[in-house]
Amino acid sequence: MVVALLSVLAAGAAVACSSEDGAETSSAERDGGDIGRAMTETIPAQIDAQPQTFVSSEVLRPVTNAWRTASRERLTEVDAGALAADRSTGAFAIFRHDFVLTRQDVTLIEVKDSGPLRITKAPIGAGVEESAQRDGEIEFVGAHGVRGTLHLSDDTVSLKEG
Amino acid sequence: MTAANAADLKRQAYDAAASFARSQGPGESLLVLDFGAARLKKGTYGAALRSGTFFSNEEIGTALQAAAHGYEDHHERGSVTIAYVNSNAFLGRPGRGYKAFDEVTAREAGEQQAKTLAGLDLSAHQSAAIGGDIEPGYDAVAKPEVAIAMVAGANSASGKPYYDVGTAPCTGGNCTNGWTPRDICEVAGGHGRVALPEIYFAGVVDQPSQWAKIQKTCKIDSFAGVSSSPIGPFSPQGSWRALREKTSAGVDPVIVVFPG
Repeated sequence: MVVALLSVLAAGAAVACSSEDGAETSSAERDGGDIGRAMTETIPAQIDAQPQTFVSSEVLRPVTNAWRTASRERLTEVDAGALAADRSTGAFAIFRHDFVLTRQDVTLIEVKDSGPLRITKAPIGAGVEESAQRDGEIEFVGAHGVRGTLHLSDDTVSLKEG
Repeated sequence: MTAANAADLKRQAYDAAASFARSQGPGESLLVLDFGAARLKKGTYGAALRSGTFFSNEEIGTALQAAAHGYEDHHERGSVTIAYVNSNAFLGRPGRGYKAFDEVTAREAGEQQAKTLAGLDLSAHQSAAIGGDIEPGYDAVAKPEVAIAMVAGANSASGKPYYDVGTAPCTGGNCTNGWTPRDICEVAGGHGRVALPEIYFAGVVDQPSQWAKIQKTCKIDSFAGVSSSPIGPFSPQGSWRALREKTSAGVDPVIVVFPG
């Protein structure tokens, strides 16, 4: 039996491998342990008008804009747009990379009937790299007029009345 | 990769490979490092990470070397192929500071991607390869021929397989953004190219069926594995099984899970 491991880091690293019959034989659930380290440079909080996105074009399309920042320990990027399979459903893809744990994850947040989402206001600049990732408030508007806020503290969305 | 400078890119590559080495099994393995979209900046080929920062191929080569060191320093068993992967995101509209690709520059970008591997100092149980996350949905501006030229350039300059971890969003003879199934064949099949199809969904977007049709059109004998993600309904093993059940081709026991 050939056992192979494969990891994508860009995006993600992770890894699983299977036997010929598809049974799981091993998993590289990140076991960074003492391996990961903090980075030397931060990325000030910013809104990117033309992000590549951390997710597949079959997940999020169009991608309208994105917000990102990185402290020395971790990075967060919020990609805004709509589900590729249903453009009436707005969506955020929240990508996080913990440098110290060498771990990455992504969360998809959907906003029904909003149309593609666009980030309109978010923490910007240097000095907020850690706090904004912890409890940043990302304001947005949907193409169909809905307005709301994405709360990075718990990855929930609240919509504004009217 | 999400680094803000070249030193951090090396650091991330080292740490990722070290972590990978500690967790891999006893057999052959493939470590794919995704450096984002191919880019041409002031005459220099390289890639812009998905988090935005541009690195030249020389800097990426240094990071790949760091990955080799990280793997070696923490190696316990097995062997690895380290792959330099980029994508076709916005090749036709790459943003401020970058030159839009045409077929000529895209081919050269692919060649330069492959040549990045030339100077690597690898141990006996390491090798290097190239690949791409080639997705028709990533570029609504450039013609499919541009991404195809990039893959062809990379493939022509490398003696190793080109690993495609992309998509095949096709219905009948039409795919997203003007691509055709034959265009997908130029990326995912043929001499020197192997695919690990993205299998995230099987509902409204039925990726196992899409790839099964591509397999027939391109006469692909076997897939090198699958690409999976917890963002969809499949477990990693479920993605692998879904592809195997839909296609008559073989599917090697390799599963990419994004992100990790």
